[in-house]
Amino acid sequence: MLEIKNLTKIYNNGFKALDNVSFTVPDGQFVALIGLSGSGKSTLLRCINRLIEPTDGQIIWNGLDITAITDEEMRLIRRRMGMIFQQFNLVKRSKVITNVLAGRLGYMSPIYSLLNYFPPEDKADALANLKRVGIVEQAYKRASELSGGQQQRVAIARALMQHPELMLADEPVASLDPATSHGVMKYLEDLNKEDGLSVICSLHFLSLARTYADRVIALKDGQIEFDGTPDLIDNARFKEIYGEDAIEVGVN
Amino acid sequence: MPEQQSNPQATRNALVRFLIVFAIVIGFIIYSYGWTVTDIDLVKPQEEQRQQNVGNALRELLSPRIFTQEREIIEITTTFLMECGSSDVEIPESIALETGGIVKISPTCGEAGDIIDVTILNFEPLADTRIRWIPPEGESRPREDLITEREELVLDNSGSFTAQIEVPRIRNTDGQLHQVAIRSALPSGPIQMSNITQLTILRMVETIFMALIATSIAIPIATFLSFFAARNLMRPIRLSVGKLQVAFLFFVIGAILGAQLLTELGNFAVRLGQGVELGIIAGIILPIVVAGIAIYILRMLNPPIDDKSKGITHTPTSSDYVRSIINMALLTLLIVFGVGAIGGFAVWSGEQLNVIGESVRPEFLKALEITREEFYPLNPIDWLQNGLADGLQAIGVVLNTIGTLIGLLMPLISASVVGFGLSNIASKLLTMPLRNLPSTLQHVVGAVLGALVGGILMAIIGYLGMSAALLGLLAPLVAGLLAGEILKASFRRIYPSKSIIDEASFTRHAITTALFWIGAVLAFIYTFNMLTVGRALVDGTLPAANTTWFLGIEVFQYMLTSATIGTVLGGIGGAIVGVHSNFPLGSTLYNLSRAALNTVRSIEPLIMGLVFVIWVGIGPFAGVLALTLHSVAALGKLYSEQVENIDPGPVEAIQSTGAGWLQTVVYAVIPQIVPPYIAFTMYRWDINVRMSTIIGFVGGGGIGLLLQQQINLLRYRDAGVAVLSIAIVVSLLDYASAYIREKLT
Repeated sequence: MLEIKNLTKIYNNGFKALDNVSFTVPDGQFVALIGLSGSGKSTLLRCINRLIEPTDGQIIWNGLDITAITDEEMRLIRRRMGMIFQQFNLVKRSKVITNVLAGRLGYMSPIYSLLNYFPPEDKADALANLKRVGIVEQAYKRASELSGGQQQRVAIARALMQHPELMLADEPVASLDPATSHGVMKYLEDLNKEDGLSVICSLHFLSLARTYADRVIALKDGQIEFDGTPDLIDNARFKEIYGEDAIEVGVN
Repeated sequence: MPEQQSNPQATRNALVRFLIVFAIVIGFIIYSYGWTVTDIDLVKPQEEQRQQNVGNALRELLSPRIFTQEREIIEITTTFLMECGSSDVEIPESIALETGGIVKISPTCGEAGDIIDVTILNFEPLADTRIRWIPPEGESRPREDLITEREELVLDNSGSFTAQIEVPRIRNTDGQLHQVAIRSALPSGPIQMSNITQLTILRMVETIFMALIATSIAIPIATFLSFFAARNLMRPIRLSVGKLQVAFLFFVIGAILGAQLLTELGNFAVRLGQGVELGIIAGIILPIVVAGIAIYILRMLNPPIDDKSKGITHTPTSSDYVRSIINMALLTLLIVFGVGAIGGFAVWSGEQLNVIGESVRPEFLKALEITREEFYPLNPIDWLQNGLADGLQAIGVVLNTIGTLIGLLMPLISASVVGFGLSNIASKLLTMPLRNLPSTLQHVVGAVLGALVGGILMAIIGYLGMSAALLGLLAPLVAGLLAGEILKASFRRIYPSKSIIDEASFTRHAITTALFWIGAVLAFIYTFNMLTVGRALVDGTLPAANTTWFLGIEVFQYMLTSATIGTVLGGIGGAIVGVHSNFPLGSTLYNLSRAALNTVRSIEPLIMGLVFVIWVGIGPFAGVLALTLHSVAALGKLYSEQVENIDPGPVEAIQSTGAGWLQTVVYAVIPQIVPPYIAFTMYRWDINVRMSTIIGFVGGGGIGLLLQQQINLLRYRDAGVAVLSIAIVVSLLDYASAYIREKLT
């Protein structure tokens, strides 16, 4: 269970990206974060695994306040939180399999990493995860040779290597075309339904949130504007979140 | 009315215009002063003598002696009577050679100062010819052709020439017979590479290898440093003040212990690897067995981390402490022993290769004692065998040198391994106890640890200050920095900011900056006076080496004074910030490594070469050392800029998997920087070849040494060969490196 209490983030230039945000995500929930660009979605996701240090507030995960622990301890916590990104963030010059294996780094001794050694069971696990996302035959290609949708699937496989309990997804389909988007979202849905992972996923398109999410949290200027099931968002709510001029478009 | 309103505007415009004109005039005066300072002078270049000299020098430089050819000398003499009619001797008008050549002079008698014609017919075409005047007694002297003003005449295609020479004035030779000698040098034999060309090729190879070796040694060191000088990698690294204090103290303790206790073990391992102890078989097997056992114990002690474990912030139990300490002890022993054994084995293998190489060499060559610099014709089989022998012995030398170096560095290796091990383990084990300190006590502990750290740090800096005046400035600088930061931190504690916006406000910033400078200047002046740095700066007299007793150890009075200041400042600082506050370790390391790289980079390799020549003697090794040092700094800077330019996405992604700093560097940073690193290394090699061509001027070996020798001997034609070779090699390499860099990026 993830509890966010009064989370606030003020950047060094004085910009307030998150303003007193509180919510709780029970295990196994699929949460969609929506809101305009700059509304604080990315900051919120990165505060949860402390890629960005929150200014104030608490994040309590399985009973542990992870805003109070050291960087070294946070490293151990991060192993249980997978994260995927809009730009996939693969190491493009490395092989696909190496990118996937990198998901195990948190469990490895740094000395092995210097020698680029992974145990055979990790390699088998990596191939199994690549098979799960349907690109096992690309395992020994360079990551840069893959298409965008395939790269995002590699990123999902990398996150799976961590055996995560929580999946953070920062605009995972914003760089993909509609058909590929659904493919990637289906894998996330699959993780949520079959493996019971909690998923927190920021999305641009409300239609995707309506299709895949159990719950929608809308951010506006760093504050929670809406928190509820997707079907509760009618036209009036939509305009509150996205502004008067916005019109809802769908992804098919 | 509008005129009145526009008046202030017009005045301002006029003022601005006046200021611009004024600035231009001042700028021009400064520029003109610079012109006079640099002695720009058009008179000297017009002096005839200088023009002639530069013409000659350039002519010789541009006529490099690349090839030589043997010459056959033919000399004919004819007779000249000083004062016509003073003797009855018949003087022939012309003299003919058997080969058909004819020499004529007319007139055949005359007085000093007369102009006579010398005609040469039917000689070898294009032969170099000189006319010499041989008086009855005394030295012969060259005569120049009055028409061309040259001493060396070149015959035309038919082998003919007519020259006008002046009869020299030689006392007491009137009425006597003089000789006019025609010396003609004919090219004969094959055109060969000149000695200087052979020497230039050898030196050029040396130069290119100097650059290669310097670059290659610099690469790993610069790569390592570049990570510390990259802002994006370093900035996130923070440490609590307490952990840092503990790490520092235990590093010092570990370094002392390591140097004292493990150096002997390391040296034993070196001897073992060398086969001095127990013979070579045992010397190879024993380290492997020891390493195997140690690794086995380590694996037993540290079972793989359970995937599902969530107990992350548990307080370490006593068994955890024992286990960590055994881990650390085993690892340090293993590293010191292993490195020592590898070094010793390298020495042994080097010696073996030398022996094997010598046994491969053809027997007859051993007796000849040919030096590396001589060319000796060989048949292909012998040549191959000889080359193999040379190659094996060269590898042997490399291994031997590396092994010996490891042996020499054993105290340093032991000290740093144990230091890092102990500081790592201590800061890990003390994390929880430090964190659990109540807030009142954290300042007390901070003060005690801070006093110790400050004292040791300033003692070391003070010790450095005893060796040279400029290093003496370090102690006041560090003290000033500390005092400034202390005043800043005190202000922050007494008047904490209400928010981040308040923290960034101008007034707060101004106050803290002012406080920083007040503290820094006061502490600087105080330390400067206490340590009598001024005297060292003015007189070059280093501080007195008086010793005194402190805690039963004999120490320098100077170090103790410095340490006392450090103890006071460290204690106050530690008390104010407490052990819980964060220390920006990454930014500090970043700034330190940047400053160090920039300082070293600003010292020209020529100056470094000067110092290294004193240390290791004249020759290419001094040049290699100078180029290496400069390359480390230059490459470190270039590399670190590449690290700062990488895509931050993969770094973020690898971090989010729970990877540590080192793992993030290996998996997210290094794959991204390989192409630019190769490109910059090529570029650096290119620069190093260019630099090593001149480092010989200070004795650093290579082509520069040859060039300097030829210039000093005024052999400009020989110097020309060296200059030409530099031009060819540098431009070729320039082109090659540009091509490779283009392909890579």
